[in-house]
Amino acid sequence: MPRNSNSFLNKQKLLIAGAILFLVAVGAVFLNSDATRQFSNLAEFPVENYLENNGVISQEDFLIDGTVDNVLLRDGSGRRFLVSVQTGKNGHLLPVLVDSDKKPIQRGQQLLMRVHVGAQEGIVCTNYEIR
Amino acid sequence: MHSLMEIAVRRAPLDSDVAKKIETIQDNATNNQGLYEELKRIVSAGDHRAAFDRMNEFAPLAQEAKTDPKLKSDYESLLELEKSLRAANEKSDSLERRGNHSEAWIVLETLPDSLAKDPRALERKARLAGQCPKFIGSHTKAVANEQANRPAKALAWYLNALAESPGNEEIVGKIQTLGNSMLKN
Repeated sequence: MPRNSNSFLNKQKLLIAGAILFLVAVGAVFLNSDATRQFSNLAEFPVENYLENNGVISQEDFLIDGTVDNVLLRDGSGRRFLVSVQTGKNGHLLPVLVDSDKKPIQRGQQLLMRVHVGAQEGIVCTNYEIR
Repeated sequence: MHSLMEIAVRRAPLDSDVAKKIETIQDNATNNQGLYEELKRIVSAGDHRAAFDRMNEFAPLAQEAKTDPKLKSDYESLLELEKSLRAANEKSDSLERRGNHSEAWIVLETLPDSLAKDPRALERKARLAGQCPKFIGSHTKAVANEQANRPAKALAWYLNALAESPGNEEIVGKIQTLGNSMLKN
C-alpha cells in the first residue's frame, strides 16, 4: 500500500512538471510570435542605398535584423545609447541611436530593430527585440 | 669689387699671385651669380626636393641673401616642406614594414596640399592602396560625407574603416567625436 501511494505521488509530480513545461513553451511561442508580428510588417532597411546615396530615405519605419558589433557610447541617463550593428548582405556596420527603457543591449546580441532615419540622417531605433 | 681689383692691379701689375687671386675672385663672383640665379629659379618653381638636395651649395648663398629676405624665407620654407615629406615617408615606411598598411596610407593621405601631389608620396600611396582597398574605400567615403556635413553617414563609414583597421587611433577619434555629437542631437 505505501508503495502504491508513492507511485501515485510520483505520477502527480510528473504531471505537474509536464504541465508547467507546456505552459512555459506555449508562452514562449506566443511571446515570440508577438515580437515577430511587431516587426513582420516592416520593410528591410535599405543599407546599401543609405550608405551609397546622398538622398534622404523616407521617414517611414524599417526593420534592421542584425548583430550588435559594439556599444559605442551612452548618455548620462543610460537610456540613450549608440551602437554599431552589423547587417545587410555585405555585413556593413551601421551606427544606430537607441532610445529605450528596455533592458540594455550588449555586444554580440542578435536584434530585430524598428528604426527610422532621423535628424542629420542618423538611424534611430524606437523598439527592439533580442532574438 | 671692381675698384678693389683695379687698386690691386695698379699696386702690383706684374705680381702673378695677385693676378691669380683676382682671377679666382672673378670666377667665384661669376659662379655665385649663376648659383644665385639657380636658387631663384628653384624657389620660384617651388622645387623642395632640389632645394633640399642642393642645400650645401645654396646654404651660404641663402645666408648671404640679406638683400633679398623674401628669397631666404621662401627657400627655408621649401626646406621645411621637404623635411616634412621625408619624415612622413619614413613614418609610412616604418608602419608598412610592420604590416600596418592602412595607417601607413593615412600618414600620406593627411599630408598638406602642397605635398600631397609629390610623385614619391603618390607612388607609395598607390602601392599601399593595393594592400588595403576596402579600408581606403571606407575612409574616402567617410571623409567625403564628413565634408558634406552628413555626420551619421560619415560615422557609418568610419565604423566600416575601423573594422578593416582595428585600433586605428585616428578613426577611433573620429568615431568618438561624431558619435558624441549624434548622441547629443
